[in-house]
Amino acid sequence: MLKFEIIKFFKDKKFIMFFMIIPIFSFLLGFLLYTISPSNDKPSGFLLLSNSLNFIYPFLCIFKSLFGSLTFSSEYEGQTLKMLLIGKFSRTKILINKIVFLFILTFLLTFISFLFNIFSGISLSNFKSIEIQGYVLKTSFSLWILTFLTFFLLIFPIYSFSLMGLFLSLIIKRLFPTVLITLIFYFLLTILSVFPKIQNFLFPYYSNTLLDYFSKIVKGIDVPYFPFLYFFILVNFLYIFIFIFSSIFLFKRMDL
Amino acid sequence: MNLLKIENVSKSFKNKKVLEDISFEINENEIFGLIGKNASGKSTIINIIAGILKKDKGKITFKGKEILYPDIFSYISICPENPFFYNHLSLYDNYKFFSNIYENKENYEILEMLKLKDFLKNKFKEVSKGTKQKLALSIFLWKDALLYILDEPFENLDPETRNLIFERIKELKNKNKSVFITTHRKEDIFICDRVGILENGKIKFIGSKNEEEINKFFNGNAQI
Repeated sequence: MLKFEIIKFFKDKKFIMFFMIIPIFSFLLGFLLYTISPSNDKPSGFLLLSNSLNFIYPFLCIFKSLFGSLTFSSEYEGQTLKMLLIGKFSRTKILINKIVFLFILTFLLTFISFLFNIFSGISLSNFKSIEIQGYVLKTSFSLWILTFLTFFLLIFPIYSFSLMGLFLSLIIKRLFPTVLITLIFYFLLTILSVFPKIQNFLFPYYSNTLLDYFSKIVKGIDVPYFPFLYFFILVNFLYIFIFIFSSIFLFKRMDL
Repeated sequence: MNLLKIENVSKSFKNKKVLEDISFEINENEIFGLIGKNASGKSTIINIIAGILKKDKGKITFKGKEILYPDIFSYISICPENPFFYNHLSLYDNYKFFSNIYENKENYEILEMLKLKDFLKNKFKEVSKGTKQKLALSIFLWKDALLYILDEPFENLDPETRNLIFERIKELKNKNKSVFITTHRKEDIFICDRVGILENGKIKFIGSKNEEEINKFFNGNAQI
């Protein structure tokens, strides 16, 4: 079933075009940022990467929440969902397949965008050394590890957005209203994450903090030990589980 | 002996009763037809048997046991009304995928017989309603099952294909299988052993296809 989900996705030209917009945008943005850098020398690739990640991240979230909302609303509108339900797979299995597929898609979309950004800047910028407070330091391999770790941790809040879209598509069932409400939720959560009293419980704040951390480390700013980061990771996983279990609970009991 | 038994099944949508205490059964080695006007509740009862809709009350048993999903689909093959497959995929891809999920053995001779082979590369959205229906029947009617449930199976079919489908239904009966079809057309019920009339969500009659009630239904609904 998962194999078919992948085949089904990659045979849809509209989806592929939609899927490739962000990596291409990421490539062009990277190229632009690396080219217009004011430094006479080759600018630090890591610094520019951190800037472009900050810029691309909201688009990744929006696109993934759209993919999430498309997951079921397209099956409802195409009336293919009931065709799936009269086969050998249980409702839970159908849903879990879609959830796993969304994770694969989130990983691929984020990873490809990330790689495209690095590729666009690799010849124009300098990933071998980094200038911190006037000193030119040779970058160690650990900076690459940190970069990939940041990328990996960023997948989860993006995945939370796509699961939110999936959950809403189960309730709303129609494509356009689902996409609209998912986007409203996305902006609402982003706005709410500005308020200190509740920001710790919202996954956009977690990703913003993560990006901020990465940016500071790359700039050579001392970052204090921050135990809240672990808390954010836990909160984010909690969101993922809440969305998955409430989707399964709802899907198992609903009329289609 | 009855194979599928529906007892006092009711279903409402937003306080509107669509099915009211429906009871009937389908016996082994029998072709049972359920006739009714449009929106009489025929598809709703099939969707309830399929588990797509949840019943408000009542009981559905298969060989005396409560139906369990999706295990039941190893014994029952259900062809819904206006079957929808993936529009952007070819008929071939759809046939392969849905044969897999319905545990149907891929058989290209059947596709040849139903004159589908020339369309296999076409996308599902590009073919006619009749071709879509033929693709669905090539899967659901040739799958190995004990009971075949077909919701308006003859819609959009040309006379030649309809005859092929009638032949297949007769063949299934000869193999000791049961078939449950819904229709609103008189010419489709000649193949049935027993017929039920569904009107406004209630079973009005169950009996032989030659009974006066059946003639009355069709004569009184000459427009359908």
